[in-house]
Amino acid sequence: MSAGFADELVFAAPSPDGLSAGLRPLDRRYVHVIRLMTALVVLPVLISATVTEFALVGKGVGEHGMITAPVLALCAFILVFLPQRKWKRWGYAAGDEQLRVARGWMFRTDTIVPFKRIQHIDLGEGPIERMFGLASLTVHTAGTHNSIVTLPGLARGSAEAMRDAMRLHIRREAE
Amino acid sequence: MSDALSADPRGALAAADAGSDRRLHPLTLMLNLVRQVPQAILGLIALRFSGPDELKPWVGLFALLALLAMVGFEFYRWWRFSYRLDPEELRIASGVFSRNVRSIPYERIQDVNLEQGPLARLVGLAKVRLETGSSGSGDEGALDSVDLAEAERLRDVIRLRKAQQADGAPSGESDAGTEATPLPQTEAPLLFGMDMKRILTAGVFNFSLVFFAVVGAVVNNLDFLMPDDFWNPRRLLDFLGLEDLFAALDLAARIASVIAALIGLVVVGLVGGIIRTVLREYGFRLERTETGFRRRRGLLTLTDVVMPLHRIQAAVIATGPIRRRFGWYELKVQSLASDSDKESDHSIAPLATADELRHVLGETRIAWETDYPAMRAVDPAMWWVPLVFALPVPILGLGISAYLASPFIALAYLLLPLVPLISWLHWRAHRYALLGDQLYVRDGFWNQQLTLLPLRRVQSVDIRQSFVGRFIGLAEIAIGVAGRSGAVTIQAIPIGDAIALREQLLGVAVRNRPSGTS
Repeated sequence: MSAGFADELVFAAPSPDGLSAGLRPLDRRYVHVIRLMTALVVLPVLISATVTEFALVGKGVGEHGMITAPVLALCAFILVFLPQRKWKRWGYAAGDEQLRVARGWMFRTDTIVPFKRIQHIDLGEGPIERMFGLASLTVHTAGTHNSIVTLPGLARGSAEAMRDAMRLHIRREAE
Repeated sequence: MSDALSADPRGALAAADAGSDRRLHPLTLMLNLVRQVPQAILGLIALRFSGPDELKPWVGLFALLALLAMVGFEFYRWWRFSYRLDPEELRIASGVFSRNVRSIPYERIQDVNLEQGPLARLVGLAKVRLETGSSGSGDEGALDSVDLAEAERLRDVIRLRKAQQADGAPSGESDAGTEATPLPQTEAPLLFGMDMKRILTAGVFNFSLVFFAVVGAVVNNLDFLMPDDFWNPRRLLDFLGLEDLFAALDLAARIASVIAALIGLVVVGLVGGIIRTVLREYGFRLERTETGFRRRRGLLTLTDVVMPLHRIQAAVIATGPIRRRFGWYELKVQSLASDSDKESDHSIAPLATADELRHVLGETRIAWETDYPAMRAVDPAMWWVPLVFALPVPILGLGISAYLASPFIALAYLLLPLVPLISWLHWRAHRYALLGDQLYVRDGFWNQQLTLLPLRRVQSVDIRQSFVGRFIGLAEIAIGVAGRSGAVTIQAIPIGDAIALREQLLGVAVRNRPSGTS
């Protein structure tokens, strides 16, 4: 299990303090994207657990289900409950002049990039995101720390609209 | 000797002939070969001593063949390397097996730096390094090497063409070179220089055990020549004929000899620091040119670096507890292109008084208006919270191993108070202030660094909060700045302050006209 899941095992909503105020949630469909991507990580674990169990039972050690049952339960839990919580940790706000992206719970980071500082913008679609009509927006600044800020899970149309609005800004500043 | 780089290139300029292919100076061949000789000799020695017995008589022949191959290859490589000053761009053609022609438009060239190693200085060559500001290794365009007059000519022609392109004026076809007569660098005012006394003083503060690193590296490469287990202390004493002497000493004498060894270490460290500083800073000159700073320094390897003012992102004033007492500071600037020695900071005044430093800083648009006493401290949680997580492990570990192995291990508990002490000192040293349109952040107890960051250079701002921070209501601010290896961070401030500070930091970027980064 990766550390990313461990972060999410703690049950609590993001605190309604000043840090999370004014944020918009990602597109609901992004929950499915997270679930599918998590499944891709979980699947090898499930397979190796099954293989180990069959090898052990073949040698006459233990019973069927002694490894697969708990692993299966854990995986089911991760796949059913966690994507929703992970999705909830994300938030963004695109004002007239700046983009704000907040993520994470145990280690929460809240980033603001002024449009004026954006060097270029990427609009990306992974295969899973495309299945659900989603896209991710990545902005690059000249800074060395945090020069790439990614906002996933936007509906394709709104991601394009955001991109165009930002691009307009960059062009206006360049003149 | 130190003004070798300012040789008058007017004659060469007149002879400028844009648009023709030129090769590097033929003596480059010799330099490249000489550079490879030590490795080759080491390789041969290794072969002589450790190769199979049948091969040993042939070592001489191998050496000859290898030498011929090296000379042939180097010559071919030299033959295939050429460069050309076109009206719009510099073209560099290179490659032995696969050919590569690189075009660098003049307007993309940020800096033209010259560098002269000791051998190159003997024969009057210099390496021309073009910084293009791309995130590569910094060797995007390097001409290694041309003669000094040609290097100066290249620098002037490239600067002139760059200026013409920036003005939008059509660049002259072939007479561009002859126009480039003004040479402001040679009579540029000196902003800061260091005499020998100052350099030696800087060396004293530059305590360095590099000597041991050098010895270690040499030993590592030559260990096939040494008897096995040479470094065993008893064996070493035996080898030096000292074993009997050491055995005869009583306890007091042994302690005295250990103290003497420590003093020796300090002396070697001081001498090493002084030598290193003299080698690097000899003849340090910082001049104000039309567009920015020009720095020349070096005893054996001479470097000549140009830093345009508009690309300076932030300044760092570094000092230490002892240096500060004597009133010495170092001034570094963080610029967009990487320096030739791969340092992210350009040191523009290695050891200066506060007044000299303000004089240099006055040329940039960065002020030094506040310092430690007037700055804001951060929350003390910065030093004690990490200890809550970090200390139980060594305390338990030491206890268990003292119980299981040897009670003497418990003596290590005496060192444990050092951890909170150091943590506390770091907390005390960490302060910040927002004054005018600049952010001041101070860090470090032994290496004290005061970062002066103009708000117009802020690229992005993070507020970070861990689960512990949320519990006690503290957060951390990380500011992205161009041309710096990490973020500028302020740790352990109340979340409300962090949000307010972020508003102020971004206020300039969001409201005013941008000043851009380049």
